[in-house]
Amino acid sequence: MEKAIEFSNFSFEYPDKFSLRDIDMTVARGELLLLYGKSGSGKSTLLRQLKHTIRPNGKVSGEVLVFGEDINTLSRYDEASKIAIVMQNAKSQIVTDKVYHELAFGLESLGYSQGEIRRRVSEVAQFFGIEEWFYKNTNELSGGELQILNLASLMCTNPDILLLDEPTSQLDPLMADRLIDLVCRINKELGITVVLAEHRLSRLAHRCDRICLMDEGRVEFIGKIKECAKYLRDNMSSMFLGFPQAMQIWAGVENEYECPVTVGEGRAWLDKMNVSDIKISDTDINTEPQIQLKNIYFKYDKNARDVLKNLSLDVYRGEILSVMGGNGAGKSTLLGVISGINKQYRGKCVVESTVSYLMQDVKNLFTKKTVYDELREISCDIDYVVSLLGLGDILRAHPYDISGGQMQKLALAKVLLLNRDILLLDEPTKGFDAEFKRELVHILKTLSNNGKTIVIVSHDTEFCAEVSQRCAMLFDGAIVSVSKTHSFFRNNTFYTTDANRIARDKIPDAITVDEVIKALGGKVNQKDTEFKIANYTPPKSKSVAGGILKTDMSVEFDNKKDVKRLIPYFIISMILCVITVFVGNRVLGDRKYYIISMLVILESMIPYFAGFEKKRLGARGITVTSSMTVIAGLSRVLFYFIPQVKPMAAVVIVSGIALGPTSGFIVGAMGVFVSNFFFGQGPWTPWQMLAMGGIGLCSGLIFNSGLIKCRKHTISIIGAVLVFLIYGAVMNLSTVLMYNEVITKELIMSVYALGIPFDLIHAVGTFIFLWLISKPILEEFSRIQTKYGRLKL
Amino acid sequence: MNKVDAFYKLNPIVSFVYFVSVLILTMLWFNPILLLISLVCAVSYGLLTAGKRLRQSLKYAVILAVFTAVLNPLFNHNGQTVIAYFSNGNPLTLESILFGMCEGVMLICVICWFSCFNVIITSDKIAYLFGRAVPKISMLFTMSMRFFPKLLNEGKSIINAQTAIGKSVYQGSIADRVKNMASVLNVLVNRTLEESVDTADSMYARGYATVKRTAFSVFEFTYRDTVCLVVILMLLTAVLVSKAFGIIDFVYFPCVYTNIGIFSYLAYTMYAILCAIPIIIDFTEAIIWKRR
Repeated sequence: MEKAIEFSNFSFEYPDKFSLRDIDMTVARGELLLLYGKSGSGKSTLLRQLKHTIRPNGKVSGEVLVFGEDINTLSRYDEASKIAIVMQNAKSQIVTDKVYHELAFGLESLGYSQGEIRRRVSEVAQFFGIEEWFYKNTNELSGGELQILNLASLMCTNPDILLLDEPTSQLDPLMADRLIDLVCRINKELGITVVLAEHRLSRLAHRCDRICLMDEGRVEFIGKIKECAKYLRDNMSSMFLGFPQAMQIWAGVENEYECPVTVGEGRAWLDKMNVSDIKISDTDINTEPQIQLKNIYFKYDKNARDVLKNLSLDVYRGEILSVMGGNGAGKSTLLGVISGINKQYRGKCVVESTVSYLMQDVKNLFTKKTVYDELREISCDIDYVVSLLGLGDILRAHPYDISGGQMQKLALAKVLLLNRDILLLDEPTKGFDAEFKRELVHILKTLSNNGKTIVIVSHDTEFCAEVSQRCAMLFDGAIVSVSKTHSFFRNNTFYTTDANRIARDKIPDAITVDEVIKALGGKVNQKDTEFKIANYTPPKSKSVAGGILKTDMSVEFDNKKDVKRLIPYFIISMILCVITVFVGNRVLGDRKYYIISMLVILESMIPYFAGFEKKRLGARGITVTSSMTVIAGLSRVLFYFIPQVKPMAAVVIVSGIALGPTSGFIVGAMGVFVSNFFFGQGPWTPWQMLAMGGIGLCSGLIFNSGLIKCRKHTISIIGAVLVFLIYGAVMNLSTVLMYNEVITKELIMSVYALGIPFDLIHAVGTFIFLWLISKPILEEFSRIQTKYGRLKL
Repeated sequence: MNKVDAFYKLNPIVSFVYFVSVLILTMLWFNPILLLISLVCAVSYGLLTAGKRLRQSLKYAVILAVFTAVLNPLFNHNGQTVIAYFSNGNPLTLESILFGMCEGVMLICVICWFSCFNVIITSDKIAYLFGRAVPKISMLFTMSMRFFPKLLNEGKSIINAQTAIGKSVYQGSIADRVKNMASVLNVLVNRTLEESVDTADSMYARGYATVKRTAFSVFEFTYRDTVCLVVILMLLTAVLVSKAFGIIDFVYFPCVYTNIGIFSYLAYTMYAILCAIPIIIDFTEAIIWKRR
């Protein structure tokens, strides 16, 4: 058997902590190896060792062989084409706007010819059954479809090894299954070696060839799944939590049969066991309604379909209610209606208390530099929440540097500090490992015992079965069933937990693993989680905040060479402009200003575009520049409610400072160009491009010259002046030249005079925005650089 | 968007050349007859393709047009036919009013052509047109087109999430709202910078910057495209030549004057055919389909 991957005596060390220790393992050609471990156990770090272009920085010892060849001697070309990796976040891996272009991206990068690309792309599209998406925009696809597209795009280069790093953690169960099916097909039909890291195994365990257990950077065990079950049971490991429920039940009960993996095997196994049917009845709950929804209708747009149709639901005081349902059933919309963000157009929604709502994407709540500041922003009395959620250790950390589970807890803490009676949670367990879920169950139960009413929407039946007192099923915009948890799951056939599916013939009341184990006379591994008030010292907030911004951070990114490189292009464009004006004046008749000015504008932008084209920029440089471009363009759309005060110029100025003059110009100019694709292009486009680009260029030149320190007030003042002078001058000139044929001095004067108040408002607005955002954004740039290394790469 | 439009399916080079020539011709001369032809074609093709979006931009265009039409006679006092005098003694002339109106019409034309342009020349076509000449900027452009809708959604959800913890951008005092806007922007930048490292990793993992990139496209240059391109270029040359010979000149000041004769009729017809090419292509395709 040929070895596809071989780690021998391999260790890896991050600058601050040990990550992988003494890894010795091999993966055979054509094998599907499952890498299991809770988050932070080193799964991703291990996978990334096989892609040295994106390997994290750290000290390496030992060796990694791929088909017998040392990974370090593998050329970048071979590595890119032969080893493919799918990462966790489906959306951020997509680079282009069209599906066909995304499929072709890898092949383009590797220099394949048009004909070859066409052949491979069409082959892959057929294999994956995605022909009907071929011409779609990537933003029209759902998260799950995007992940399938990522996989398809990687398969185009015909790799030998496929690595997947928790590819399904952000997907709903149906899409996750579809993706796993595809991965198994790739493995079985094409014989490609697959290493798949996951922390939820219920759909996977029976399909892999071998499983590798990882814990704290070590390989604990590697072998077949049934051997693995035995190993875990003998070691009383808590790692069982993420395994299929059949295996968990098997491990909880003493028996000498072979371990069941699937639900079917579980039922067969249960038939051999002695079962004492126990009755589990739901506890009584307070039925005083706190939220009353009556015949709610809701839609997002006048012409859209109804998302909620005739929905009625009561939520009782102090209960935990779970609302389940498929994708697009209206779960999040329902929470929106309860919280008041979505207003129903028919029906009544009575909420007799204050509501706080934790949405799915928790990162959206973080605005400060430390966890402590995040919490203090809401309330001064944070002791209880910190100890309840166990945040004591990470108070000094930056909210973006903590793990996903910790982020979820931090967001929950922020919401709890608002001290409201009702808590709405949207998919609180999505993407988290079993350990976190268990912890969350305890947290939510504690809160509910303290009198909070909690409404959860989720796909996760296992979690809902454990945490909630009542469950409801949402389908097609209405509640089709609602009852106490046990009777809810007992009456469902399809929408129920695996434990219930296994046990439903013999113990219909049992819906969780623990209940089934109890009924079988086994021992439940009770983990007592009492919350102790952990001691912590509040960090001094001032110790984190720096005084002066680092000005040298941009030096790496856009050095003085770029400016020098501009000079020849600048001269050429000046000559072109002069010729255009001169020739245009002679040749063209009455219609001269319009066309000449347009040409001059386009020509004067040449040097900066050419300079950017010549600039040494890696993938990171180009992604960051295009991200800032989009944010600049977006800030015109996003804040439509206060006219004239648009943060676009502020974003462009900050980008100019952080990324340098040429990139500053590109951010401004392309920001306008791209956003006009959504607003509509017009004769005004080149003018706006020049004006915004000029602002970015000048701010880059001024603040990268080293003459002026990047302090908040200097940036704000100079920014406002730049906006007033450049934007005002260019756009007023455009008014004169675009809308008037015969140009007189008085016309120019009056247009400029009329423009002054608008330009002043624009300048003042920019001043305010720069005052507010320049420092945090520039700090963010330098944080990213210290975290991931240079952006240029 | 009407994707079955036959003109849409032509190679981007052809449609780009078409739009550039029509726009230049519309902006270059100020002949009311040419402008009217252009207007009719632009509006009718715009209604065929852009539909709803055209009506929105037309509203804006008409306001601008009226503004310029009124503004011109205020500053332009050339012309023979004096209608009245302003208080400062400057004359208001019929010619300058006509001139102002033509200016307005031209503006509407340009805006209409741009709405058609927006529908026909999609982002991937731009990337195809400029991808070879400026690969880096074209890559940046493609990525920006990808990020724009994504970040728009993220921005909206940030606004919602911040509203849910009491930091609304819609309610409260202006100072609070601006502050909250700034923090929304801040979150957006933070998130995006973090994620752009991911995106860059995904690009490197797929071999970005290993060798010289090739540019894949789904567009082919067919025989049909060649024919269309040749016809467009011929018509363009013909109109330019007739202009050079002064056949389609139109003089406003001091009094309105233009050539009328067999050649000018011919030139106007050719101009009309040029402007109507997309409509002609669409209709022939429809007829071919029916007769099939």
